[in-house]
Amino acid sequence: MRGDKLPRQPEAEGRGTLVPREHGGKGNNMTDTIKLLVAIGSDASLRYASPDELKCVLKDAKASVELTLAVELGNGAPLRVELGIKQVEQAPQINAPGHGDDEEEETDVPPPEQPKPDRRSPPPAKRGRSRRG
Amino acid sequence: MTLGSHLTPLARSHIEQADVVFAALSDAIAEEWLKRMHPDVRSLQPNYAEGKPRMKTYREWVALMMAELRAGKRVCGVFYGHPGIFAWSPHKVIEQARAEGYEAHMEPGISAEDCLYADLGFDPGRYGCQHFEASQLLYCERRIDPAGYLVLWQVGVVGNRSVGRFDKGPAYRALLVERLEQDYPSDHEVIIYRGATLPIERPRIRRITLRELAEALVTAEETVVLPPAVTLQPNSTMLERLQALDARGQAATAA
Repeated sequence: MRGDKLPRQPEAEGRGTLVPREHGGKGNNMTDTIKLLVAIGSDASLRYASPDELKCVLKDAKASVELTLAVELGNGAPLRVELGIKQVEQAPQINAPGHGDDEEEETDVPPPEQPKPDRRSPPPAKRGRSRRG
Repeated sequence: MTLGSHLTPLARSHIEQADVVFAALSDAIAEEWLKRMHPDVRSLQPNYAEGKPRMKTYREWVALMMAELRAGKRVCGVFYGHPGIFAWSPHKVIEQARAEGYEAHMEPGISAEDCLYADLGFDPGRYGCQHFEASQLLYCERRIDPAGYLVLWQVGVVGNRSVGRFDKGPAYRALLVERLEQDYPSDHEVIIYRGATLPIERPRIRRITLRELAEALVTAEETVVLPPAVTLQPNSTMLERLQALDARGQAATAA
């Protein structure tokens, strides 16, 4: 359940848990913006802060102009420009029956032709494990 | 669903411990985030193509993951939301991996559905909630109970049979509206919803009428919700039988 947002006091020390801009060289804008996004996403007070509150925090964290603009707009379009990313339109995985290419019509991907390991004796945990994230 | 917010600790651990990570995420920025967790992240997005049958793409995904598995690697597939919802290839690759003797399992994730309940503020348990892929309502005979919530997924690509065409034609949605009007009045409220994928976003919620749905712009990422249109009606016959069971139970206790 969402509680009261923690007010961001500009005068307070140690405000925010955002990662400041890295020093040296040309900097690493991409890293900074992503890290700031992660910090915002994982901080209950930042995630639901108003755009004005968030912009204040981002200013202190020396966030990029694009991130600040993204906060104002409420969408990630400026960030894709900053990060040089082209947004690929999400094509949802459609697999319900009734579509023209039901999975039953397709064959499984065949394994390569090679001797299979002896599985009769209990093997140790197989190295190539498929895990889902 | 939301970058920085909804990755479970266990899912993160899987990513970090994998030898190779395959990704199909909700936002390209999220993919950049993922790349910071692992040195070998391979996007599955390039396999999509306009005009290319979807199943061909999904089979390619399975083949890519299986190839690494057979090469002896620990493979992790990362799919936005819950990897098992509206996702053929995660289920398929697990099935195939297990069939070949590999250990494989799926970790649940926070899905768009979970975000939907939180953002729209309704409890699916209160009046019941039916979920359909929108196209299936057109392809198949399905019964809708308008006394509960109705959630329609992938309305933006309704009627898109097989070929990887990403358009959002009003003519197709008009057929969907026609189908829905069999159960709902045309002025019934329809909610078009998109959850936030970035933490600087808010969910996008639009409320229109059913008759407006055909011409409304609905993206592939948006979900349509129809709140209940009729009140629940008591089942008198079953209620009487329940009452009789209660009475027998009480009599048995008293005896």
